[in-house]
This record gives sequence, structure tokens and C-alpha cells, in this order.
Amino acid sequence: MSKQPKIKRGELSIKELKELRGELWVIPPFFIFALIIFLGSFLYKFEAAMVPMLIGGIAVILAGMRFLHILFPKTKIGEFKEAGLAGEFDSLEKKIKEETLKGKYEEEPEKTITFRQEKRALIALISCFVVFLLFGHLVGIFFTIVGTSYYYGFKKKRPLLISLIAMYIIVYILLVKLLEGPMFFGLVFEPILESLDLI
Amino acid sequence: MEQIFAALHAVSQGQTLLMMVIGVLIGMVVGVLPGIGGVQTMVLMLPFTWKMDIIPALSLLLSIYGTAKVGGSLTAILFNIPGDNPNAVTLIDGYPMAKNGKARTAIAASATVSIIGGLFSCISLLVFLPLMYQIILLFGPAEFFMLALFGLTAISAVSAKTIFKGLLTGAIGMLIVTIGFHPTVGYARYSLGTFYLREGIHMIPVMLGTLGMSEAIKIWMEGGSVVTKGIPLRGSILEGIMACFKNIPLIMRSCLIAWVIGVAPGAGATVAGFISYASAAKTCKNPETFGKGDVRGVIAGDTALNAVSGGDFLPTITIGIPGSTAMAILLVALALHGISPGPQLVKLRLDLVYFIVFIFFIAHIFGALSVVGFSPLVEKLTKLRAEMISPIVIILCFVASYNAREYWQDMLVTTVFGILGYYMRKYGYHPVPLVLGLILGPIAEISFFQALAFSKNGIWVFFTRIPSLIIFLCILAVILWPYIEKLYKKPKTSDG
Repeated sequence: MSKQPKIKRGELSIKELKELRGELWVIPPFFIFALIIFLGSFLYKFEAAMVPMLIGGIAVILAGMRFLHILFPKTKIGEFKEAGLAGEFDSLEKKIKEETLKGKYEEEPEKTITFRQEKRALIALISCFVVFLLFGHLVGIFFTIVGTSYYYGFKKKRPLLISLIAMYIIVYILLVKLLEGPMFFGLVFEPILESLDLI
Repeated sequence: MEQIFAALHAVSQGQTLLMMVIGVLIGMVVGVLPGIGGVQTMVLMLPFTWKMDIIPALSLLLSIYGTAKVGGSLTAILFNIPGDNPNAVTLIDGYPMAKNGKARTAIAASATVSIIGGLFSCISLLVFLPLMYQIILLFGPAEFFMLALFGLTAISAVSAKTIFKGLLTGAIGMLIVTIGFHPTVGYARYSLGTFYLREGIHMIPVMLGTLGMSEAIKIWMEGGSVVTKGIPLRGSILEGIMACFKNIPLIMRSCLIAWVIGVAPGAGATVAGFISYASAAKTCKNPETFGKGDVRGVIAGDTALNAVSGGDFLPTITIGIPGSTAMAILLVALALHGISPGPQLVKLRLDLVYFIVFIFFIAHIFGALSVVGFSPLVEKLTKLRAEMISPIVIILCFVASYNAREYWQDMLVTTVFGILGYYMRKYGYHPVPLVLGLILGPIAEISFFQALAFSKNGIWVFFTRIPSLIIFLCILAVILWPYIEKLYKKPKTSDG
């Protein structure tokens, strides 16, 4: 039986490295946001600047160190391995689960989500937002239910019709008419409907 | 006593009861739906409760929370799939019972102990509230500031995989609320000259994104439905109820275990359920039947799942430190109605605290009865596919975020935080500290300046007052715990 060589780069395995790189979705936005708030705080008087300067400074340092660790995984700076109490509870939960569920229930292995699946879902979500923004609730509901279902290859007409009707009832009748919630007609439709005196 | 009567009067109002019925129906449905649970639904409902009075708003939210838990046990018993993570304990004996033709017995036992667990939660709250009230009377602005920091550090430490991730997320939450107009400052910060930013980024769109929309994206990616085939509903409901009354000592023990675990922030229902189950399996007569369809297994686990709420509620209501995500949402609901969560709530609105206790208990009864009564109907919902559920959640997120303030920009914020929230969860940055930062940030800021204004010795006010100093030491202990633990463990390993 041939042994599979363990591929490592520095101290981390390829999987760990991939996970660390994945944090690039989170850390740079956090870092940039904290930096803007921190630097911006110098424009204000003491009372206004105190909290953003203090918390912003801490956030910049923490996010910056982590960013450095992501870019240079060999460095110990920003490694932040300390588990805290969460780790304690996690290991306790895992231990109890293992003991009590042994042989009785096999937890499904977590599904691996590929970048392609992520891209697909994000495209669907952003499209929904654009339609909601431009054409408002009524068109947005139709597009989100019918459009995304077709996009995902789900084309059964009856369940789609039922959820469409249910959503119109919930949003238009329950939320708008009964609970007096606002109705949004979209950046494109609203001026048109207003000019036609329809809203 | 006056406050108790006021609370009972509020409970008996028609609007309260109507909201409870709606909440129970919603909770029942979402309890069995794949991917979406009580917490996500509470977030989706938050903007719609904003314009309501606080009483019906809390009725709706607490009913959803109480019922969804019972609904989660239903899928565990019938399909061997927990509706929510804590319900995993129910399936150990619940599913074998269903396979042995006793599905109804297991559901009835689970529903009965959920009522008893709920009752225990409420009684424990009523017993410990006066005690906590006496303690928090000693608190001033310095302590409120320290409590806000403690809440943030405690939840950061327990909800994220590493303490760093929790603290960073909490700090980002606090920074988000610095945008916009602030009463202590007197003008808007970071508005960039725009009207939208002058009003500030509201917590509702952020929460809808991080807790609701991120979950919908995940459902889309994973696809499929919960189950394809279930077990037919057989067995006697009465047998299940009687089994509970035959095991009162077991129920009491499970309640006590759960309460102690519930008080610790972050330990939660899952740990409580499994510890209670393990304790029952070790100490009961004929332990060999556990795991093979013993009703005592369902009783021990499900009692703990519901009794844990008492311990969960106590720190949330009295000191503003939520023990779970659901409690964090409850704090937001209170904050949206202008009620400061924590000590202020107990000091100024004790009637509301009692109302929360009563409504929570009644929601448990309604929820349990509905799940038993409508289980054949509810069971069918588990066959809904992800392609159907995700769009519904996304529509509700958009509508709810617009509903909050009628700004289209809020829908953009929800989308951005939905995507960010998905990646945060994926890489171990739990969104709860972020949400808590949004709630506790302004409280901390206001209390900080109030404490300084009343202080004769400046910043030292936070360290010269005994309660404030104690809370400060707790904060240090939470942050430094990993290092303290290392020091404590080192001599052991060297000996060994």
C-alpha cells in the first residue's frame, strides 16, 4: 500500500492553507472598514472620537495582524490559535455527542461546497437584489421565485405557483394592507407609476 | 405584585393572544423546515414588529422561539434528522421509538416535557429575579459600561472558534454603530455628506443579512430537501403523557442540570440536552434500553432542551448578556422599542419582565399542543425543497429590510452582509458578536461618558467602584482564559 505524501507548505497543510486563504473574504473588508473608522476619528472632537479611535485602533491591529498571517502563513504574527471558552464548549459538546450518539446516529458529513456553487448562488442573489431595486417588490417576488428556481433547474409549475401566490398574499395583503407596511415599486417603476398617477 | 397583575392583564389582551397564535403557527412550520429555524424567523419578523406595541411584538417573537424548538423534535422522531442542532438528542431514542410503532408516544412525551421544561424555566426566573434585582440596584453608569464590555467579550469568547475571531467581529459591530447621528456626540459621524449615512446603518438590515440571508445562500448551495421518506404516525398519545408523569424525578434532575448550564453564556441547549441524557443513561434502572427506543431518553433530553431557557433568560433580562443567538435577538427587539436591555429593564419595566416569563410559558403550551395536534400536516412540510425555501427567505429579507426604514439602501446593506455573513460563518467568524456589538456599542458609549461626567476621579471610576472592578476582572478572565489555562495545565503535563 502506497503512503500518500503529506503536502505541506511551512507549518500548514494544503487544506489549512486553503481555509486560511478563504479568510480573505472576511479580513480585508474588516481591515479596510476599521482603518477608515480609525483614521476618520481624528477629524472629530474628543467625545466623538474616543470610541471609534479606541475600538477602531484595536480592530485595525487585530485584522492587520491576521491579514499579515494570511499573506505570510509561516509567520507567527496573527496566528491567533487561542480557543477561549468556545473551544472548551466545542470539545465538551463533541465528546458528549460522540459518547451518546455512538452507533445510533451517523451525522451526515458536511457537504463540500465548490466555488462554482458559491458563484452560482451569489449571481442569483445579486440578480434578485438588482430586480428588487429596479422594479420593486411585486416584480422582485416574481423574479426571485420563478427566475431563481428555473436557474437552479427546478421547474415544477404547481409548487412554484403556490409559493408565488403565498408570497403575494403575505407581502401585499398581510404586510402592506393589514400591517400598513410600505410598498416599494423600484427605482425604475416608481417614477413611471407616479407620472401615471397610479401610486 | 402590582407588576405581576399588570403582566397578567397584558397577557389576556386579544392582540397578545392573536400574535401568539400567529407566532405558534409560524414557529411550528419553521421548526420542521430544513435550514431555517426559530432564530432566522425571529430575525425576519423583527422589522414587522417594530411598528407594533412592545407587548404584541414580544408575544410574536417568543411564541416563534418556543414553538420552533418543539417542532424540531418532530423531525428528529419521525425522520432521524434533528430540526435544529440541539434536537439531535431527541433522535437517540425518539427515532427507534417511531420505528417500533410508537411515534405518537414519543411526540406526546416530547411535547409534555417541553411544557414542564418551560414551566420550570419560568419558575426559576421568578425565583431568581428578586435576587438579581437587589444586586443590580448597586449598579451605576460605570457598571453598565463594564457590563456592556463584559457581554461583548463573553459572547465573543464563547461563540467563535477562537477568541480573536469573536473579539474582532464584536469590535466591527461596535464600529458600525458609530456611523450616523449619536445623542452623546450631538452630530453625525462618518456620514460622507449623505442623508442615508447620517441616519446611520441600522441593526435590522445587518442582522437580516448576517443571520437570515446568509443562511438562505447556504441552503441554495447545499440543495435538496430534508427527507424523502418518513415513518407513519402510530402509537398512543396518552401513553407518552403518562410516561412523563411516571418519571417526575428524572424530569426534575434534567431541569436542574439544564438550568445550571443555561446560565453559562454559550453552553446552550445542545450541551444541556446531551449532559442530561448521559446522566439519565448512567443513573436510571435498566440503562441497556437507552438508545433502543426508551421513552426516558426522550424525556431526559427534551426536558433539558426546554428547561435551559430559564438560565438563558436570566442573564439576558437582568444584565443584558444574552446566553444564545435567540436571546440576542430578544435584546434587539427590546432596544428597537426604546427599552434598554439589562439592568434598566428590571429597574424600570418589571411588568415587562413578568410578561416575558408568562408569555414564554404559554407559548410552550400552545406550541406543544399544536405540534401534537397538527403533526400529520406539519410532517409534509419537510419535503419542501431548498430551491423553494431560499427564494422565500430572500424575499422576506428584502421586504423586511425595506420595511424597517423605507430606504432602498437598507436592501443593499442586507445583501452585502448576507454575502459577508456566509463567508464569516464558513471561516469561523460567528455573526452573533457582530450583532451584539451593534446593540451594546451605543450602551457602552453612553454609559462611558455618563460615568465620567458623574465621576470625581476621572477614568478611575471604573476601577474604584467594587462592582465595576469585579466585572472588569471577569472581562480579563474571559480574555486571558486560554493563557490561564496554559499555566494551569503545564505543571500537570510535566508531572505526567
